[in-house]
Amino acid sequence: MDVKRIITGITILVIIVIVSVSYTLNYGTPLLPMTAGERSLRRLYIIKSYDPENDLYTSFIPAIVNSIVWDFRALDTYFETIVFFTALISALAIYHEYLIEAKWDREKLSPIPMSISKLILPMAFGISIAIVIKSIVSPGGGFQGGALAALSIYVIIYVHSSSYLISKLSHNLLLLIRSIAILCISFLAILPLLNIIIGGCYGYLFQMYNKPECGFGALLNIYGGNVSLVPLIYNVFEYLAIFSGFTLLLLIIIIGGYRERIS
Amino acid sequence: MNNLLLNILIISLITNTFIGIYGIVFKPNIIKKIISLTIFNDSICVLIILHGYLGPESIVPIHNLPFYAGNREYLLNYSVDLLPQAIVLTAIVIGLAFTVFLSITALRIYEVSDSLNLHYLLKSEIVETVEPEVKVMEE
Repeated sequence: MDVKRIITGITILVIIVIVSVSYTLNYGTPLLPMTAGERSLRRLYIIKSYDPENDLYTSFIPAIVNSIVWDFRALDTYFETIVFFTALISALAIYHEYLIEAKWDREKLSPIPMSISKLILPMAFGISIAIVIKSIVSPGGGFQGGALAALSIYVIIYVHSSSYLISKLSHNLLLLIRSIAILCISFLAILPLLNIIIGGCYGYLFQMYNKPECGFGALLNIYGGNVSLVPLIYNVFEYLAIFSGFTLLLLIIIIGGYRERIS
Repeated sequence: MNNLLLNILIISLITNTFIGIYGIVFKPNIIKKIISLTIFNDSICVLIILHGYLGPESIVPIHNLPFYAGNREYLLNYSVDLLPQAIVLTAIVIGLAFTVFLSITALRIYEVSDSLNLHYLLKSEIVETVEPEVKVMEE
């Protein structure tokens, strides 16, 4: 073996041992480097995410991670969605012709996987929708649900074929869904600000809560308390955006792979 | 026992991180570089999430409805740290976008030059040493 490669390997091993041992001694041995009370930001999020006694500073979302994602750090989430959208646009700019040429394809699988897929797919889509709808009161969200739905699409492509999928769900339709979803998220983000112009009262970017001096909000009374519908609305659009985006990318990569293999 | 298992997990995650760095730096194949980047990204994400762990009694950070004050106190005492989870959620999406972009670029590079080996593509002096590998990839 090359001496240079051996020296590199040994150096990396030594670095791993040093970092691991120092890390374990500092954080690993006590294992709980900070107690729950010392994390002030964690405390703030837990208190402010759902505090019906304090209308002004709460987001009325019981699922705290969702309240961080779509309220405390909503701008971050918005631009993260835009980054993914841009990656998709770049992919489509290069490989748009793959989606038009449906001839690069392969045959269907046998009836057995096709029958099994008919059983599995409705369940997968049902679970993905449930993840989105229940995101107010349980873990989950648009990205998780959308990723699961797109993986179900992968099953369709694998079992049937990509041309079958394109015949049912054209890439133009997917692009339209994707664009509308992104536009809706953008519009909903500034909707409370339009309320300032129209209603003449206060509005808060990305927020649709009933606040003092602002009657504009999407609150639902369930389980005996007010719960915000904001994460649900945003998550539905993010679900659509992620689902359509993933599906387009899967189509491009799979058709590209077949094309290379055939040619 | 719990501490030992967590220590093993931490050490394996750090090892994974360095394996990812090794792959990114030393592997000439672009696809292997992308896979290494994914390993690196995921290991860092799990390591960050692990920082939010506050012991075996940790619970999911969700307010139980109907809301009452004791409910919140219970969360304040036992809930895991939720900020790492929210940050990692963003990191996953950004990492995915990055992987998508790199994969598409790699596909295009392969179309244009019939190779994914960076040494071969850059026409460097190392081409001779990696030539057998290039042939295998082309097959």
